[in-house]
Amino acid sequence: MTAAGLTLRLVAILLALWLLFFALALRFGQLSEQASGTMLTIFPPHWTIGERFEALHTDPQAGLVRTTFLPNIWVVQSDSAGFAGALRQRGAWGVYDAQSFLSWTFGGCGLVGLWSGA
Amino acid sequence: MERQARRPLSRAFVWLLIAGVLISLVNFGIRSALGHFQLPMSRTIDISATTFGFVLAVQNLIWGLAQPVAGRLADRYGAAWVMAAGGAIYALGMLGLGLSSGPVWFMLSAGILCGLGIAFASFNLVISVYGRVLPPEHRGWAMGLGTAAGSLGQFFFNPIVQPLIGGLGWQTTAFILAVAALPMVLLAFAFPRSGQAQASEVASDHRPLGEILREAFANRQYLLLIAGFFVCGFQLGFITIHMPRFLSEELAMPDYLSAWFLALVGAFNIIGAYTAGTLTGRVHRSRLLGVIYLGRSLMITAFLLLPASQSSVLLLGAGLGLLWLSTVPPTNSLVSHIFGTANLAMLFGFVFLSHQIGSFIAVWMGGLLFDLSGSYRILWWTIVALGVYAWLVHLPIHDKGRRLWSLQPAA
Repeated sequence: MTAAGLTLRLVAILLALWLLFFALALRFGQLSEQASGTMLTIFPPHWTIGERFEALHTDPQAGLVRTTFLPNIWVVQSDSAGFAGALRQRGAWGVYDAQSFLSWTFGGCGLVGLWSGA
Repeated sequence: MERQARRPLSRAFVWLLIAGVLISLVNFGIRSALGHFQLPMSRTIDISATTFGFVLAVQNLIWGLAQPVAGRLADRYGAAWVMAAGGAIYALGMLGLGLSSGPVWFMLSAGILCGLGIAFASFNLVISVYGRVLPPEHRGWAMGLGTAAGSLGQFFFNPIVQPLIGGLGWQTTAFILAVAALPMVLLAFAFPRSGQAQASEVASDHRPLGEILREAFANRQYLLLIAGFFVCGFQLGFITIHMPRFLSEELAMPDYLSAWFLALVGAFNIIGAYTAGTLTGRVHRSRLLGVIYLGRSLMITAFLLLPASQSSVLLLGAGLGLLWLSTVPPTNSLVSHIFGTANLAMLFGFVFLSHQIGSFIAVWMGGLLFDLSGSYRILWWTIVALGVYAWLVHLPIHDKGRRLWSLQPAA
């Protein structure tokens, strides 16, 4: 095997492995049914903004905290117990801790730096 | 020469490369994800931000201090045993982290055990073995690959670890990471199992340790490399830790910008490390290092003198990323050029120790000077000056037999 061939195969294998582990993390990293507070919600991508708000406002305490660069992913908040379970019941694909996907942008040491500096 | 450059890698070398890449990726990946434990740990046990930062600082120092020891053991008894032990200690450290109930236990596990594990299974050993056993025409490329794999680990692990902490809790996630560290023990056995077997063309060095060290530390070029790598650690340590606060408090930039800055550094670091490794096999290595350090200084100078904007911050992140760990392959390669490869892992370990000391001082000085003056400006100009100093320091380092540039890989 040549150096270039090995590099390309390694990249492909690592990417496949990463997708597998990331899928497992998405599956097992969801918040429990009873969770409340600020959370990141993945709605089905074909949902309209109206449908997303409809799912959210079934809980009168719930509110939108912010949108993200992906239109179907919102950070939402409610203090009602069982808010995470309710969102899933209403059709959300996944409900995660609000910090869960900051890692796309935060590095480990940088994160410590940010928190220490805060 | 052309035919030699394209000579296929043997099966044993392919396994060695794959194992090294995976060890670098897992080792660096787990380490880079430790920051995510801070908030959840502070909510459940008595771990403040200061304690957390201090433990990770100790981890970095232990990594630096243990690196020459790990290198010496690898050179003498074979990297396989050292790296296997490193993987096991790392896993034990993560297990201890999951069981932590307070600062002392946290220090023992994440600080001391993880620090030792990181050193004993580090990418420094991986690339030192690459530099010793691989055919000369593949060494630079392989070192770049091993260094880039470490950076890739950050992207590999962080998006996986955070949802797991959110969903399963930090203790369970620490146990999962302990299990993730265990494959390093098996992968290590793709590496040489004895000091002698590490390179057929290289005789083992049976001289006493003191004699080897006296010769090394009497060598002016080695001392210059150590001085240069100190600057590397100083620059990286300061920027990684203090950039977020500089951006938010001195430049009044939004908080998310520092996250994007660090992300760009990480992403471009993968490209930079790989490219530098490839160039290491082709160009005058000390000149390459000089260009990298001078490049950092020029970029930072431009950033400080031009009006700051979000675009300029992101541009700086991308540019510095290209020059981030790109110093590692040529530095390691120069150590082997000066002394041969018989004691490469240990001698590069001492160079790396100076990197960690530089990083520690920069992080500490950055905080101190900011508290005293309310500004990071002095430190920024210090790292610009140090970059120029590092460029000058590398000028007298000989790289015999190397032209400034060659399209052909050098032997």
